[in-house]
Amino acid sequence: MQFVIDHSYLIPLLPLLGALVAGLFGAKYLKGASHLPIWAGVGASAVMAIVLLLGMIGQLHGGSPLEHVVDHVSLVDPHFAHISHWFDWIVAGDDNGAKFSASAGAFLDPLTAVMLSVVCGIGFFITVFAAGYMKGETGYFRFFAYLGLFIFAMTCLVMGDNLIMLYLGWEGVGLCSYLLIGYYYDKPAAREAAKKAFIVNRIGDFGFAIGIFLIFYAFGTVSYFGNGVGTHSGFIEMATNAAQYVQPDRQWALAWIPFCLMLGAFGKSAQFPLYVWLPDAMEGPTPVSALIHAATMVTAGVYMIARLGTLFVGHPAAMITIAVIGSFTALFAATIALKQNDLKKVFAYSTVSQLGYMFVAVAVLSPVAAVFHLVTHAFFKALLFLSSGVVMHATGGELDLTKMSGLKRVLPKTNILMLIGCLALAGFPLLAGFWSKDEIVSAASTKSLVLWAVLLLTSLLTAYYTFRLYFRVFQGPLVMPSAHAGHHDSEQAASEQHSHEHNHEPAVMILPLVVLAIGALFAGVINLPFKAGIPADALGEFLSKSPSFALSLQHAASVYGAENVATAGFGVAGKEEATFNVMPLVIGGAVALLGIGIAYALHLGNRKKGDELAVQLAGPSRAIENKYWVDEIYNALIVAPLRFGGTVLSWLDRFVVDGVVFVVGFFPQLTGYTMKRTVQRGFLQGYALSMLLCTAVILIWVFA
Amino acid sequence: MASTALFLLVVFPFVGAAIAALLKDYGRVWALLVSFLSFVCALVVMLGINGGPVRWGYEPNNPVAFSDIGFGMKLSCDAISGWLALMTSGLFPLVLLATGTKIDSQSNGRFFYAWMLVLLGSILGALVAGDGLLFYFCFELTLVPSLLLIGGWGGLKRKEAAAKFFIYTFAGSIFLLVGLIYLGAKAGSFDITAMTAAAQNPAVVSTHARYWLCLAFLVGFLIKTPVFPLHTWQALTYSESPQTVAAILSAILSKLGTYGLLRLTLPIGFVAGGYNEGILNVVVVLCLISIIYGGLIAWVQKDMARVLAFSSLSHLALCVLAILGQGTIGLQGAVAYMLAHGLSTTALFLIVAAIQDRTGTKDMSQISGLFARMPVLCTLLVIFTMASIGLPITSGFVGEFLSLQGVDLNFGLTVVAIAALGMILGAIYMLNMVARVGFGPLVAPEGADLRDLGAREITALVPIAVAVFALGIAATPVLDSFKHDVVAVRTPLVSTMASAGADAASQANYPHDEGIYFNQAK
Repeated sequence: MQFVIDHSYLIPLLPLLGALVAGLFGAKYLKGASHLPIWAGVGASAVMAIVLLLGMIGQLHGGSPLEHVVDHVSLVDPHFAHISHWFDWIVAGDDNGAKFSASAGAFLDPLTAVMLSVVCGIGFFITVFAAGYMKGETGYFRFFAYLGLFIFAMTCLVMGDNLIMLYLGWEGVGLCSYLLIGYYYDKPAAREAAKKAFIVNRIGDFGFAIGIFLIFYAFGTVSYFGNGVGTHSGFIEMATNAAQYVQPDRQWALAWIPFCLMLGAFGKSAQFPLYVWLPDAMEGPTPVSALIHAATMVTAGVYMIARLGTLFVGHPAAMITIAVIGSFTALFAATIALKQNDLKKVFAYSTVSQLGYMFVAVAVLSPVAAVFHLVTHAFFKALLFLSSGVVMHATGGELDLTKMSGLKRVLPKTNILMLIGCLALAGFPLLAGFWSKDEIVSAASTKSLVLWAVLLLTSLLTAYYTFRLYFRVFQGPLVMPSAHAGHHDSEQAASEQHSHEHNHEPAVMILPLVVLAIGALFAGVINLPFKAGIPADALGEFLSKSPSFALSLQHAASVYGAENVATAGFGVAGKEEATFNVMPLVIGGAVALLGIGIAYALHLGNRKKGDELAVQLAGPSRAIENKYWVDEIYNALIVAPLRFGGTVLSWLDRFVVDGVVFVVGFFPQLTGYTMKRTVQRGFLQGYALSMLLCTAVILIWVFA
Repeated sequence: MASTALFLLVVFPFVGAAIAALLKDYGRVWALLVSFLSFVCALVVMLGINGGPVRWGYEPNNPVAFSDIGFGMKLSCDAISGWLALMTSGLFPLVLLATGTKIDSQSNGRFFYAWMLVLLGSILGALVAGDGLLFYFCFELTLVPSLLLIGGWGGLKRKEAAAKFFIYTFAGSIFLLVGLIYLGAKAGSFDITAMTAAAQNPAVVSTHARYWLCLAFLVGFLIKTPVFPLHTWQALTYSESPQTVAAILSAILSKLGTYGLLRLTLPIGFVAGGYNEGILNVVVVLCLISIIYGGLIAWVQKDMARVLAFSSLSHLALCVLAILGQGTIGLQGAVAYMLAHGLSTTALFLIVAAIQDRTGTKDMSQISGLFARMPVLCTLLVIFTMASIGLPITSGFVGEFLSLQGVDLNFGLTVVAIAALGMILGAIYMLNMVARVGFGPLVAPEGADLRDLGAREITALVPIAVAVFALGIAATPVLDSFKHDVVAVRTPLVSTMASAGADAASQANYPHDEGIYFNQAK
C-alpha cells in the first residue's frame, strides 16, 4: 500500500498513457488491438486502487476507535488521510497577500479509495466488455482512446486534493462524455446529444466555478486539507469554524457557496432541472452508457457533496433544497421511465431517479448511505446497461421493447444476468439494491414522512418499470426483431456481426457481466445493518475514517446539537447499541414485490390488459410519453429566445451599433469622408490630414 | 548578449522585409527563416531576463536619441513583453508555414511576405518599446502592412474591410497620440517609466488632467482589443482578410490592445490615487456587455471567421476586466490569457484557412461532417476548441480561471457571475461550430478537395498544440516568471515621494492589497 501512496500519480497517468498510445498509434498500427493499452492502463490502475482500498481496510482494526470523533477532530486517524503532492500546477498571486495555489496532487482517504475502486474496477470490466462489443468498428482505436482519457479524468476527479483538481476531472469527464456520446459522429442525433450534454453540464460548471471563486474569496485557499488534516490550512477544515477563519466582511459568501456548488452537482449528476442531457446521452455506444452515464461520471455530484460536506451541513436551507430536488427528481424520472419503450432510455431515467436517492441521502445527513447506494448502483446499473448491449448486439441495434419478446430462448445467459440486475434495481429482498435503498429510505424517514412516502412510491414505480421491461423483453412468446432493421453501428460492424450470428453471447462480453452480476447480488454485504460474518455497517465504519465524513459529522453536531444528529449516517456507531429494526426492510421488500407483481400482471400474465389500461389512461400516458414536454419547454423558454436575441443583436450590430459609432463617435472620419467626397483624395491621405488637424486642435485646446 | 538580441529582434524583420521585396522566388522560405531568427532572438532575450528587464539603447550609450524632446529609441523587455514577443515570433513562422501555397505563384507574392515581416517587426517593436513615442510609432506602423495585406489578398469585400479597419484603429490612435504628447511634455521625456511616474504624481499632472489622460490612453486600446461598442470593424476584417492574416490580426495584433492597457493605461490612468472610478465603472460595464453580446452574436453566425471574431470580443473583454481589477492574480491571469488566446485563436484561424483552402468556403451552412474525411483536422479543431473554452490542462483554463478569480476578488459577485456566463456561451457557440463543421452527415460544396491536413499544416499546428498543453500543465513557472513584472505595473511609482500625500499613505497601509474593492468603498 505504501507503494500506491508514494506513486499515486500512476493511477491517473497509466490510463492516460494508454489513451495516448491508442490515440496516436491505434489508427495505423494497433487497429483491432487498440484495446490492449487501455486494458493494461486501466487494469493496472484498478489493481492499485484495490491495493489501496484493502490496505486501508487492513488498518481499520489496528487504528484507534472513533467514538469521540464528535468531540474532537484530532482523532482523525493519520493512517486514513494521505496527501501526496505531485507538482505545483497553478500558483499565482502575492506571497503574503492573496495567493492562489493549486497543486496537482492526491488526497487519499477511505472515500477516495472506495470511489477509485469503483471507477477503476468497474471501469476495467466495462473496457473488457467493450472490446467484444465494439469489435470491427471503424473508430475502434478512437473509442478506446476516449475511454482511457475518461478514466484519467475520473480518477483525477476522485483523487484530487483540491478544488482545481476536482474541476479538472469534472470538465475532463464532461469532455470525454461529449466525445463518446458523439462517437457516431455522422448521426445528427448523436451530434446534438453530445452538444447538449456538454452545454447543460457547462451550466452546472458555471455554478461550480463561481463556488470555487467564492471559496477562495472566503477561505483564501482551494485546497481541501492544506498541509494536512488538523492544521486548519484547508477550507474543508476551516469551514467547521468559519467565524474564526473567514473575515467578517466575507462571511456573506458562505451562504452562496453550497448553492453554487449544488448547481454543479445537479448538472453532472443529472438532477432536475439539469437532467435533460442524460437520456439523450444514450446515443453513445452502450459501454459508454454503462461506464459514464450510470456507474461513474454521473455520481460525481454525490461525491462532491460528500467530500465537501462541511460546506453543506451547516446550511439547513441548502440541505432542504438538495432533499427536495433529489426526491422530486427521483419520482419525476421514475414516472417518465414507466412509459419509455427504449431499453436504454428506461435505464437512463432510472439512473436519474436513483441518483435522486443518493442526493436525498446526503441531504438527510447520511452520506454513508449515499456512497453505499453509489457502489451497489454502479454494479447493477452497469450490468443492466451492458446486458442491454448484448440484446442490442443480438437484435441488430433494436431497442424497442414493444418489438421484441421472449428473448430468454436466444439469450439464455443474458436472461439470467439481466434478471439479477433487474431484481437488484427493483430492490428485491437480499440483493444489493435492497440494502442500500433501504438505508436511504430509513434515513429519510427520520427527517420527514413526506420524503419517506415519496421515496417509497418511487421504489414501487422502480420495481414496476424494471420488470415491465424484463417481462416484455425476456419472457413470453419469442419475437425476434429482424437483424436487418438498421444496425446502430457502422455498416462494417453489421456485416461483422452476421458472421457471428451463431454466438450472440461471446465470452469476452459475458464474463465481465458475471463479475458485475456477482456484485449486484452480494455487494449489499459491505454495509449490512446487522452483524453477519463481517461487522455491521462495515462500509460506514470505514468511511467514518475519512476526514471529510468526520469533520462533517463534527460540524453537523456543533450546528444542530449532538443529540439531533444521527451519527450512524456518517458511519459512527451511536452511543447505545444500534437497535436493528426489521420493519423498514419488510416494507421495502413488500413494495418491491408489489411493483414486480403489478408488472407481472400487466406485462406477462395479461399483456392485452396492460395495453388496454394504457389506452384508458391516454391523457397522463401521453404526458409521460412526451417526458412532460420538458425539452420543448426549455426550447421555447430559454433556447429559442436566446437565439432570437443573438439574431437580433447580430442585426443591430451590423446596422445600428456600427452606424452610431461611425457617425457620433468619430468626428475625424466625418471630415475624412467629406474630404474624400469633395477633394477627391484617396482616403489614406484624407485620414492622415484629418488626424493632424484634430491632433493640433486638441493639443491647442489642452494646453491653452 | 541579450541586449543585442533585443535589438536584433526588432531589426531583423524590417531588414528581412526589404530583402524579401527584392527576392523573386523563395519569399516564403526567406520569411520563414527571418521570422524564425526573430524567434531565436526572443528566446535569447527571454533567457537574459533575470530579475530586471533586458534593455537596449538606454543611457549612456543611446545611439538614437533626441534629448531635446525626450525621445530615444529605447527597448526594454521584461517577462510580460518577453512572453508576448516569444509567442508572436514563434507563431509567425508557423502561420507562414500554413499559408496556402497559392500566394507563392502570384507575381506579387513576395510583397505578401515582405509585408508580413513588416507586420512582425512593428508588433515586436511595440511590445518591447521602452519609449512611449516608439511604442506609438510601432503601434501605428502595424496598420500599414495590415491594411495592404487585407486590401491586397482579402476576400470580396476586402476594400471595405480594409478601410473600416484602418479608420477605426486610426481614429483611436489620435487620442493616444494627444495623450502621449501631453504627458511627454509634462514629464519632459517619453520614457514610459518617466511618463508613468509623472502621471501618478499629482504635483505634475492634476487629477483633472489625469482623468482626460486616462480616457486618451483608453480609447485606442479598447478599439484595438476590441470592446463593445468599438468592435464593429472586427468581424468584417477577420472574415474578409486572408485567414492566415486574420490569425495574426486576431491572435497577436489584438494583444497590442490588451498589452497597451496593461503597460500604459493601467499605471498612467488608474494606479495610485488619481483613481478614475467613473471611467472604470463604464469600462467594466462595457466589458460585461462585450462578454454576453459577443457570445450571443457568435452563436448565430454562419461564417466561421465571424464566430471567431465575436468569440474574441467575448474572451478579450474578460482579459480587460482582469487587467482593470489590478489584483496580482487577475493580472497574472490576464497575461496568461493573452498568451492562451493568442495560441488557440491562431490555431483555429489556421484550421479555418485549411478548410477554406479545400472547400472554397468558410460558411458553416455549406459544410458538415468533415470528420469522416479529415479526422486529423477535426481532432485538432476539437483540441483547440477545448483550449478556447478553457478546459483544464489547456492554456485557456489557466488564463480564464485566474482572470475570473481576479475579477471576483475586486469587483464582487455580480460582476463575476455575469463574466462567468461567458463560460457557458463559449461552450455554446464553439461546440455549435465544431458540431456543424466536424460532425453530422458529410456535406461539402462541389469540387471540394477533402484531403486531410498535409505534413506542412500539421507541422504548423502541432507546435501550437504542444504550447497549449505546456502552458496548461506547467503553468506555475510561467506565471512566476512575470509575477514580479505585473506587481511592478500595479505598484504606484509615486508612493515613495513625499508629495503623494494622503493617497500614498493609504497605499502604504496595504502594501499587498489585493486590489481596490471599489464595491466596498462605495
